[in-house]
Amino acid sequence: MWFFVLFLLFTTPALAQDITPSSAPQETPTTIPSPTPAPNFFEQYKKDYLFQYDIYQQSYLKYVDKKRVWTRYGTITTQKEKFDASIEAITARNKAFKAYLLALRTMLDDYESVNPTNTEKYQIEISKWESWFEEQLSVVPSINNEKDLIRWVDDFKEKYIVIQQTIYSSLVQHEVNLRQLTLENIQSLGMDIKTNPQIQTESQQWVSTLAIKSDLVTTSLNNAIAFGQRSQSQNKFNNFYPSSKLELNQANNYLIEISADLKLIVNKFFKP
Amino acid sequence: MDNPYQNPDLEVRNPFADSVVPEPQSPNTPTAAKPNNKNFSIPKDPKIKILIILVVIIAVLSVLSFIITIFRKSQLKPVIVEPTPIIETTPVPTETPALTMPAEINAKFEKIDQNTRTNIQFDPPQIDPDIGL
Repeated sequence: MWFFVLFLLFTTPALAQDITPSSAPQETPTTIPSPTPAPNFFEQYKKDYLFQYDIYQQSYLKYVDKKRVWTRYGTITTQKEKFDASIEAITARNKAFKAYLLALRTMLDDYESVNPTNTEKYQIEISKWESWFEEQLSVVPSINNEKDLIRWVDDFKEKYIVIQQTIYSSLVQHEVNLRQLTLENIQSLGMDIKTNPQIQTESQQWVSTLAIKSDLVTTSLNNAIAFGQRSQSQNKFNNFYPSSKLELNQANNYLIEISADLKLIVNKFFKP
Repeated sequence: MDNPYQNPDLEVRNPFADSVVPEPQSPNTPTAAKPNNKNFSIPKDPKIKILIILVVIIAVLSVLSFIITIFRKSQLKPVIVEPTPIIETTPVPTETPALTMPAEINAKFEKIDQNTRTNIQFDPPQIDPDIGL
């Protein structure tokens, strides 16, 4: 009896997912375990969004098929099938949007420190829409007649204009933050070049001339933001993102030019 | 002045015929060109001159091209295609030489280059807002 109790106390249980099987040779690990890398939440949320979007596309194809059958036959059965497919597709769409907004909000964290006020403003807006889509996940399945469904769709179409504006404005703000951070890095580097004792003092006047292009970068970034702040029509979304993207690309081109100029200056005046 | 008529059936010569003095031909009077192969002269009309010059040039070029063609045909020989030689030397790396600059500055440049290469691409979902209508 005592032997049985001692056996139970000092033996370790064999787990189903035991990583060290008894048949494997036991070796002392000699390598130093590397520190756990910081999890990239954006990539995880992005994968989840792509998964949800794939489900939405399948549901949408099913809805289109049911709608086509209903348009052809017009029976009560086909109408019910089309209604159910609509509910299913809208729910899948809401899930996809919720996942996308979560990933977008997480993405904004990357360069938030450059412009915390505006970035947080967009993150709050995104959170609001995330909550709305979360709420609709329980609202939409409870709709049980065509009239309520049509009312919900009309309401969503009005909200969708604002949602798109929030999304695209956030994307612009995120890229503006990145370019602004790069500009700050370049300006910091310019100061380092000026004060570096290994670089001749003649370089200082050349570094100072780069301020003109820095102003051009700032102007392009401001223009990119300004496109998103124009008021939208009530019935149709005016997509400003392509125009903003052009300004952002222009700003990035200026940054590349400034960086290349700085490299030339350093190479010319550096005395090892 | 007309010549007095001399009847050929009469033996008596027309007295007036002797008194007629033939007029000398003026040098400007046009005369029919006599064909003379030995003394060929170049026509004075400039258009014809140019035409003749062009004809001569064409003829010379034709003769030259004919001679060159015959010459080149005689030079043609069957060409033996040799295999492409394989370069046995070690290829020279094409990387740009490293820039000479302090290490800390180089690290900052790499960070800046990485940022400028970053392309943000996270488009929103493309959806149909009319589902249910």
